[in-house]
Amino acid sequence: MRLQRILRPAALLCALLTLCGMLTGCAASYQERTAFAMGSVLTARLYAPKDKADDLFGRMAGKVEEADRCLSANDPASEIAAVNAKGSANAGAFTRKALGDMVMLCHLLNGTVDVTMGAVTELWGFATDEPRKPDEAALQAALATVGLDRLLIDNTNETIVVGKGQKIDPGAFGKGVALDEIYNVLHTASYPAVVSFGGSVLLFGQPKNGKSWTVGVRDPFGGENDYFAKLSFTPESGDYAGFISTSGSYEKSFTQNGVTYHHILSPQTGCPVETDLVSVTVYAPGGLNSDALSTACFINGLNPQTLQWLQNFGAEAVFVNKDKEYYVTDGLSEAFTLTDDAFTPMAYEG
Amino acid sequence: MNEKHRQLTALTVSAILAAAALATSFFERTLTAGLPLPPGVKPGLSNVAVTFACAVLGLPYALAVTAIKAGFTLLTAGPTAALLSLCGGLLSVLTMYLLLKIKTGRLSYAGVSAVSGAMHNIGQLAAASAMVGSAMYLSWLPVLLLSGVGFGLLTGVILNAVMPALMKLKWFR
Amino acid sequence: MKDKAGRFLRPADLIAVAAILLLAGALWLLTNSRQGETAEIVCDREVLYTIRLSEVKEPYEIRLENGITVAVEPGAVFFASSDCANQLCVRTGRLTRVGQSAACLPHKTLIRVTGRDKTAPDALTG
Repeated sequence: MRLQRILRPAALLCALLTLCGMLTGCAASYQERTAFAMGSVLTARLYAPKDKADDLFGRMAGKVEEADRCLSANDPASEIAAVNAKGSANAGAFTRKALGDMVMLCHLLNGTVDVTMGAVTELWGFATDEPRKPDEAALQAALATVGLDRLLIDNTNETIVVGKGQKIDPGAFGKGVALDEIYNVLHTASYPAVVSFGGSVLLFGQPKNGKSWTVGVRDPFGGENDYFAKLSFTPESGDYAGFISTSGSYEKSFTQNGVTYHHILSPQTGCPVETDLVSVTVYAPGGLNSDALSTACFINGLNPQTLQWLQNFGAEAVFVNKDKEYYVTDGLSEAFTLTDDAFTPMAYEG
Repeated sequence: MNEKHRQLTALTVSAILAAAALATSFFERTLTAGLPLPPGVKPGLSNVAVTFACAVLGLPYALAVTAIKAGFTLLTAGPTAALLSLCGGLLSVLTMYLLLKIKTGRLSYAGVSAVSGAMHNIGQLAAASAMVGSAMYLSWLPVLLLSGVGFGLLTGVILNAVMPALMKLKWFR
Repeated sequence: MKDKAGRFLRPADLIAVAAILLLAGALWLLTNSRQGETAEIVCDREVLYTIRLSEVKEPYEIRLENGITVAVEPGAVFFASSDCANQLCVRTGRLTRVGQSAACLPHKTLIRVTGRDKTAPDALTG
């Protein structure tokens, strides 16, 4: 009798335990998917069930491929490549809209980044396996073709026209455009996700259990997987979207006759920008903005105008110079955690 | 006391209980507003009213009180929270009823509310997981189970203190 | 109605509470235990190999059809060789920690280390 007293509730609880065990058995936290597009790796961590993750990732990768087909300067079949080859060509609504956004940004950033730099970037060949320092005369000729005012986006005739010899290079913007497209896909389903696309990151939604998203900021002096600081974001709502992009001189560079050339070219000189900075990481509410801003901030350097740009776009940034010093804008100071003590704060009074 | 009278009393008492439950949860929300409680963790003091309904009036009345609580949540916190409240509440009440029904080896009020508190959180989390279509929230279950048991014991203490006094009122005997 | 449930904490209560605590503990262990690092080799969109690095006793190599050789060692994975032009994948070096990855873009091949590690960031920018 006494035994039975204990056995009954025990049996009930056993049943409960089994139920819970079955429930947790299928507890997987996220699905990770990878694709290769735009010459970069696209990786998504989707906090969604498998079938939903497959569907979402398929659509995301599709959008990126579509953007690449329209905007790639390297793919001869793309609309932009056709414009570059013929000086004028038909372009669909997506290409015209994306290019229009890029041009607008270039204007807002005072031409510090320029989408019409194609002729110059082609000479340097950073997109190829054999980058080289161009011949001075050729460089000046290419530089003469740069200019936003000679690019025409004709929405009535659905064409894009460039100046003589002018070429469009969406390089500094392409991943940003793609991440904005990915955001649109994620927004329809509202599963939390972390998408990383060739060093640019999209944080979407709220991480589970009230945790924070964390993003490592690459150590410009270390290897590909090394980071010197972490940024943590704790979204307050499921609608959250944060875009993080980095421009660094370590990304693509080559050495010729003892001089090292990096790939971030100034539209003024047509040469790698001379600066103390080695990387700029920008956190912004939009992909294109974050991508373009990181390049523009790198080229313009850490100064009041750059900080004003960031403010205009509601963006924040981390600057790192060649002395292993960093500067974090005010809005990002709480999110920022240094993980490598070799780095010290920069003496800059913003 | 005739049957009609009995039913009327039960109805009135459950209405009072529902009101008490709403008042308690409102009070509890103001109390805990400033506390850094992890998401989903809350004392659930209004379960005193639900347990009382379950023990004295019976399952249908307890379910009604739970439904009214969920309705209140619908008004104050939106449909998602209401659905979670309903699922948690239903599972909790059913557990409570079963545990109170056991004749041999019965649990005390503390035990009943501890187990039903844990079941409340299981129900909520299961509903949340079903809504997102994935079991990912279940990694949060251990924390919620702990808090469910802890706060369940707390409400159990309150029940132990309150029940004998309420029983003396002899409303429907 | 004789109020039998009145007495605080009986043996059955203790069993019930203990069982739930046990369940909580077991679940916590289940969901938070640090899983061994797992290496994944991804080609195009397909995960070709999944290797538990803690279970690797002897170093060995995996030759992929696309001309890439991936080396697997106890606790590490890396591109041993590739016939691509830029050799960036080989230069990335050994991957040992959760969250690290290396890619050979010309061959659309990625290796990465996954697993549970609370200190690892969700993503890298750079």
